[in-house]
Amino acid sequence: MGFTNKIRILKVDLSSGQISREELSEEVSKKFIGGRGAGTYLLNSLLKGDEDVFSEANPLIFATGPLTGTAAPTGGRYMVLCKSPLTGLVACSNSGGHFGAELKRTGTDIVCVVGKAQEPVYLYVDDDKAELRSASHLWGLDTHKTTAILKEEAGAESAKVACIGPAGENLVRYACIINDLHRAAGRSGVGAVMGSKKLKAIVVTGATRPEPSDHDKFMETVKARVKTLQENPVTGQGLPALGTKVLDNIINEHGAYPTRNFQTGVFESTDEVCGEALVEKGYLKKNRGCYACPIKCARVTELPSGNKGEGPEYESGWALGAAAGVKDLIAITEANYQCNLMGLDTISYGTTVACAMELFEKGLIKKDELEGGPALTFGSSEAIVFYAQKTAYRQGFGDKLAEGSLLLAKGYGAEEYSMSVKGQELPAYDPRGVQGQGLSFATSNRGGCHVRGYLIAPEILGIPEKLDPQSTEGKAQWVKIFQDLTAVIDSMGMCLFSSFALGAEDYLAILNAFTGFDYSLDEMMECGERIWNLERALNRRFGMAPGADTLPKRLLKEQMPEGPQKGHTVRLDEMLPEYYELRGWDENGFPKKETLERLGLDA
Amino acid sequence: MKVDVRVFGPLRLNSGKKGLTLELAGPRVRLREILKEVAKVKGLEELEGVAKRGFGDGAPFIILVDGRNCLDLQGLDTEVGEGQKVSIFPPSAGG
Ligand code: SF4
Repeated sequence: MGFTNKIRILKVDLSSGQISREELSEEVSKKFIGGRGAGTYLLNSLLKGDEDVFSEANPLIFATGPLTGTAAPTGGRYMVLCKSPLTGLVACSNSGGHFGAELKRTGTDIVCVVGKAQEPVYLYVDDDKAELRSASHLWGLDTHKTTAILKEEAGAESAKVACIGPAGENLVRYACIINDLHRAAGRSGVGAVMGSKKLKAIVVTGATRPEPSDHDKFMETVKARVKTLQENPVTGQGLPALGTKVLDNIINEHGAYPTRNFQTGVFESTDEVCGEALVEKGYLKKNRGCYACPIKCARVTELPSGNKGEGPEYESGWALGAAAGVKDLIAITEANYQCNLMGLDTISYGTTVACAMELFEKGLIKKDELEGGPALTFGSSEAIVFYAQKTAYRQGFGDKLAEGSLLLAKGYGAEEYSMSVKGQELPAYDPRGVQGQGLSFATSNRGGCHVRGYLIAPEILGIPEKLDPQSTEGKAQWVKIFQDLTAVIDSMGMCLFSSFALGAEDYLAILNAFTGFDYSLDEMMECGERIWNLERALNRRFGMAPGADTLPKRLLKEQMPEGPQKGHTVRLDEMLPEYYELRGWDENGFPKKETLERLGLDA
Repeated sequence: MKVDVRVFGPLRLNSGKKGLTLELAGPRVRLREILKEVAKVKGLEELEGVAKRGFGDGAPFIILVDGRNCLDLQGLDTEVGEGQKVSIFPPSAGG
């Protein structure tokens, strides 16, 4: 297959069983790049807004970007989009591994699944052949067993599998999709939508390499960036050696490591559970990478019990650890394995348990509601492991945990204990110590999330330059640029972690060399802005309330009780109006008509 | 005066040390001098280069005084006094 800038869609209607092929024009790909951008374009064209998340109408979109499956460093990423069961807004989850690259090698950029199957099925794609097969024998199985059986049925080691576990089948609102055993399209409940469609898995195997518009120029451009990544101390040494868990101590020493449901920003037992401890205790076996990744940040681990897997990474380790006050690295790692097997998002699971622990501590959840399960006391390593399966199967108290922290806390009339934004739980940074990150959390289109504008990079890590984390000045502009550039990187199909070493000019060079579109830097950044605005316009149709760009009361009103950030809150009101102004949005946080027109959006 | 210094990441793994307490002639010492002292420890020699050359381009060493990055204070000229805590990380990132 030669070079094309058209976006090739494999459309699967599970209700009728029909499989067809469509294309999006070059014009669409120039405006939206691909991946996250093209997926959002499709969502926008398929949904009116008021559809139920578990209805036939909610599409499930697997979108690779133009660089997915190419030689571009970290070019193995893909996105999963739908309307989210957790937030009711845009769900858009990124994953790595090898699945996305293999999907591209079948000659397909996007798989768009609509409708619902009567009985469990899986989609099998072998180059240009695609068929639905029965998955009745797989329903109820965990992600590892499912993957093993499907690989065998495919008869090819090269076949790659993305599937759901029991959590997705049982419509846990934060169920994820697991590909290649250990990588997750983690957040916003994309796995539950897959479960509602009775789609257990997608298996792909292909032999068609994506062709760049100019092969020699592309390879030259790519090689120079691989070298940059290898020579950079962060992407060349730090991330390979310690993975993302190098952050535990960094964030804790800053006093921004959320502990016991964000009651404080200092976890006294960080030394026990940090990335360094994972190495010193001998649980870390080696590092591993996603497709075409020179960074290789993933952790391959083994516990003294002989249980093996990948992770925990920083976010998961925190959510199953400090967030719930748990200081037992074995329990954290075990809970992480369980989440991967069950297909649960580690961040939302851990933080929902943390929320339940605070409700229990306050006496709102009573012991007898737990139906014999372990008490939900902060620090309970037993609880963090035990409730993973209960949640995935919606058994006992797990049924309540499966709804996510916001619905859980609302059920007890105590919404303020859900540490979430727009219904999605916040990740591992207490923004009372990091103002720009606070603004980024508050304005994220998919709710609480660290990969929609990672202000930790400049505010804490000094990348690309050091900003004072406690200053609010100029942060609105930084957040906007980070959000827009992130949308570009996600849409290209590259990993966000490459941006610790690469800058906007590098992405521009790679994108231009592949597509031949000859974007200017401004035009490329405008694509990011367009995608961000389309997500927001879609959120409005989905019913996002004015004023939803906010943070839990605790972060706005309760001063950090101790540590380096003692006395601070997030000063959102100093940043939000400026942010709306820069975005061309009204005071409710929605794009003005002229902004949509400027960006060529019809939404 | 006494200053507690903690090292992290590859620094901790390379030196086999989580930290050390320095005895220095006070009442206040610049961070640069502290780094030179710490660099005498096996496995932490690279801090000598930071003390001499500063932070340079790209991702910097993250050096905190009581949880505040020295780059938000007076850089390597930041003065450290009795009982303060210094935390040192090599250039790092994650997410
Ligand atoms: S940096 Fe890590 S997450 Fe990103 S592509 Fe590489 S191995 Fe995967």
